[in-house]
Amino acid sequence: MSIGRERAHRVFAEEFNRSNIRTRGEGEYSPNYVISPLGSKMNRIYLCGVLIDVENRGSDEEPFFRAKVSDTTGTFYLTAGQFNPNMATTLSDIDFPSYVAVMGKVRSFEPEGGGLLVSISPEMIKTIDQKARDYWFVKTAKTTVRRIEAYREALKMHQPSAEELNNLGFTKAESEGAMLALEYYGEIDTTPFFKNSVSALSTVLKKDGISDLEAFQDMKEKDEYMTSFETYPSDNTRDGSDSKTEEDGSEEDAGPTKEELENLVLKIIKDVDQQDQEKDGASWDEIVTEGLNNGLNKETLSQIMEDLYNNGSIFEPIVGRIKLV
Amino acid sequence: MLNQRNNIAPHIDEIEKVLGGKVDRKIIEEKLLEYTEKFLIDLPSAKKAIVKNYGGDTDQLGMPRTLMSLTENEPSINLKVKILAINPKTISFDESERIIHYGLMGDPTGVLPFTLWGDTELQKGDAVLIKNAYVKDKFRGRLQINLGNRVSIERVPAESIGEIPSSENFESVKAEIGDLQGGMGNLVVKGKILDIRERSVEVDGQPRTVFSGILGDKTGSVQFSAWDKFEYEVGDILEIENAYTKTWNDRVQLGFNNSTEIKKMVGEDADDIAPSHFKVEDLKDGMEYVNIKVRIIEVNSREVNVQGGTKIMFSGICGDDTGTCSFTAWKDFELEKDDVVEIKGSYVKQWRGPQLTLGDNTTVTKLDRKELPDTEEICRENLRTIEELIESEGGMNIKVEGVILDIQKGSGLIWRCPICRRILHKDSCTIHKKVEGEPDLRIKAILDDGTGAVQLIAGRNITENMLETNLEQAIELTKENMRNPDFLADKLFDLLVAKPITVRGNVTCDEYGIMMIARSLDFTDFSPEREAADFLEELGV
Repeated sequence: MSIGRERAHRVFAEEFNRSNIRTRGEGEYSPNYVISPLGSKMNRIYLCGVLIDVENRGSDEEPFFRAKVSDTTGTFYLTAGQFNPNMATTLSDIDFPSYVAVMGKVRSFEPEGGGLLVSISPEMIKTIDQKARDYWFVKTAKTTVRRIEAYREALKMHQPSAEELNNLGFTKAESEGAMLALEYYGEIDTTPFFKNSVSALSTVLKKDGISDLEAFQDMKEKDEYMTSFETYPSDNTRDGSDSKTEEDGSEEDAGPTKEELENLVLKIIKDVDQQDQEKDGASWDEIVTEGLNNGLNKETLSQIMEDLYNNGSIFEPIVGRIKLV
Repeated sequence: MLNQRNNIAPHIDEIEKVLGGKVDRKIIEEKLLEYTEKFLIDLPSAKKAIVKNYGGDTDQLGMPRTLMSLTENEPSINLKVKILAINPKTISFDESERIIHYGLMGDPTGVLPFTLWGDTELQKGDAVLIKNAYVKDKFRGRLQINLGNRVSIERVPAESIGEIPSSENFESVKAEIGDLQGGMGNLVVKGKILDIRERSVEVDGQPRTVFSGILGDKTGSVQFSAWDKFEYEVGDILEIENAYTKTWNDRVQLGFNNSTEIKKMVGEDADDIAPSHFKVEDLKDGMEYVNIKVRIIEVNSREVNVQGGTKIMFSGICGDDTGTCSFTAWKDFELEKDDVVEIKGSYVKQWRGPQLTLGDNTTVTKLDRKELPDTEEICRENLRTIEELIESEGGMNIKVEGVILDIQKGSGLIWRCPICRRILHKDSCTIHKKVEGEPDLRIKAILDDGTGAVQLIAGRNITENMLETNLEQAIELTKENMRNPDFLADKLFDLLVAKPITVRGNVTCDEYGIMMIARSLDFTDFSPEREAADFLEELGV
C-alpha cells in the first residue's frame, strides 16, 4: 500500500504486546513498523478501552506522562512527554477510570537481554461511551479472527504464498499479514488470540453482569486500586482469558520506553554540562559515570547517545564533549 | 522486509565490485542483512561500513547505477543519464499549488520515467549525473525515478553516457493492455480488434493508407495505427511482437515499426480475450469500444458552453450487479431513470473513478427492465472497504463504514475566494491575492476502517446538520468565541471522533492520496450486543 496515510490497525493488547519484531522500510524517511504475532504490520493503531492510570513521571516543567489502557486482554501503554504537549495536556486533564479511544503511533524499544517493548505515542485521545468501545471490541474481534484464519490456512499449505491465500478469499493485507506471521514467528499457538476475541465479545454481552469500567470503579472505591505502574496487577485474569502474558510477564511490566531513556540521558547531559561551568559541553566520561548511577550500562547509553546524535538532539562542539541542541 | 531481501541483490553486486571480488558474496549478504535487519542501520550507512571493514574505498560506493539494475524501493541512488523528455505540471497539494516535472531518462541499458519535485533548469537532451534519486513502489506496473529535494544534478559531457538503445535492443516484455503506458518498447501484446478504420492521406506528396483501430483485452483497450497494409478485421485475435507505445493527446497509443510482427491467432475464444460485454467493476480508465448492459439510476441534463455555442450534456449514474459508475453523454439518447440499456462503443475516462462516456459513435438500445436487478439492489452492492477503494483507485457512489479518527485543520468555518473557491489564508487567495472572502462550512477529517485511511471532506449541508447550526449562526458563534478560533472544529471533534460512521459519496485516488467527498454522513446503526452474540454463535463458542 503505497498510497496515502498509514492505516490504524485494530489489535487487542495481548497481540500488540507480544510483538517482538520491528522493521522499517529503506530510506531516511521511511516509517517504522512493529509486526505482531498474527502478522499485523503496524505503524499506527486505534484502540479503545478503560483508561486505568495516568502518571506524570517527569516534572511540572518537563512533564512525561505514562498512561495505561485496559482492553480486558491486556494493557496498552501510552507515553506523552514535552515533545507531544497536546496529548500530555489531554492526559493530565482526563479522569480515570473512564472509557477512552486512542489513535497513536507505535513505538518500540529493544531492552537489554532481548525482546521488544512496545508502547504508543498518542495522536488522539478522547473519552467515549461504552457503545463506541463495544463497537471497537466487535470489529477488533472480527479482524483478529480473520488474521488467525489466514495464518492457519497458510500453515496448512505445502508452499504457502500470499497469492494462494488471496485466492481463498482473504484480502491482500490479510494474506500478506499471514505470510509475515509465518516468516517471523514460525509456528505459534493461536489459541490465546482466539480467546482474546471471545473474551472481548463476552464483555460486550456483559456475561459477568458488570461492565469492565464498573469493575475498575469498584476497585477504586474499595481502595484496591493501586496507581503505581510497577505494582499494578495485570488485569487479564478476568473473563477467563489466557494468563500467558502474565507468565512471561516481562513484557507486561514493561521497563522504561525508549523515549523515557532518551529523556533521562538528555537530563544527565544537561546536568553534567551545567556542573562544569568552565567548559562547553559535558564530557563523555562523566556522562557514563552519571549514567551508571542511574542504572544505565555503557552499551545502552552508547546506543541512546547515538540515536540522540542522529536525530539532532545533541551535538559535539569539541571532540569528547556533548551538548544539547 | 520481504521486499528488502529481494532488493538487496544490486547492493551486494555493488559492494562486491567495490571490494574487487576479495570478499565472498555470501559474507557480504550476511553482513548486509545483519546491519540492516538486526541493527536497523539504513542501507547507505550499512554499505559504507561493510566496505570500510574490508579495507575498500568507500568513495567508490555511489558510483552511478544503470537504469535496468534498479528495483523497487531503493533510496539514494546515483544515475548518469540523458534526459529524453521533460514537461512541467502543476498539481494542487494540501490546497496549495506545486510544480512538478515529469519525463523520461535513458542510459545504455534502458529508459525509465521520472518525476522531479519543484522547479528545474533541466532540459530535454541534457546529459547529467544525478545524485540521491530514489525509487519507490512500481506505479502502474513500472518503476519510476523520483528526484526529490535532496537530489543534486550536474551536467556531464554527452559522449560519456553512450548510446541510448532504441526499442529493438530491449528484452521483450509481455504486457496486458491495461498496463500499457507511454514510452514502453519491445512489447508483446495480445488482443482482439474492436474497431478498424481505413483512411487515405498524403505524405510528402505520396498517397498512402493509414489504418487506425482499437485493440482490447480483459484489462483495457488501446488505439493503434498501421501504415499501408493491415489485412485484419474486427473480431480477429492478434499477437503482436516488438510493438512500442507513445503518448499522444494524453492517450496511450500502440505503435508498430519495421521489426513488428503480427500474428493472427486462430481457434482461440474471442470472448475469452476480451468479453463482448464488460461489467461495471471491470471498467478502467482508457478503455475504448466498451459494450455494456446497465441500469440508469440517475440522469440529469445541463447546458455547457463549448466552442461555437452551447450544447446539452447528459450525466448521471448507472450500474449493474457488480457496482455503479458515473456516465456522461454528449448526445440525447433519451435515457430515463430505471431504463435498462445496452450501450455499444462507449469509452471510459477517469473522473472520480471510472466514468462511462457515450460519444458520437456510441449506440444505445433499450432492453427489458427486468434484465438487471432494481436500483435499490444495485446501490446496495456498493459497500466497500478502504483497502478495496485504494486497489480500484476510487469509485462513484460508494458506501464506507469506518471511524473518524481526527478532525483536521480547515474544518468548521472557512473563507473562500469568490472567484475560484480556493480556501483563503489570511484573507488572501494563492491565485487572486487579497479578496473579500465568502464564508463556508466544511468538515475535513480522517476516516479509517482498519483496512485503510481516507481524507474525508464534507460540505456545508452536512456540516450544518451535524452542528445543528446554520452558516449565519456559525459566523455569529465564531465571533462570540473570539478566543478560540477552533471552536467549531472542537465541537466537530466532540461530535464525530471515535464513533462508527457510515459515509456515502465519491472516492478519488491519485499519487498524492485518497479522498472521499461525502454526499451523506450518518452515525452507523449498530447494535454491539447483537453483533457480538451473532459472531460468538458463528465461532461456535
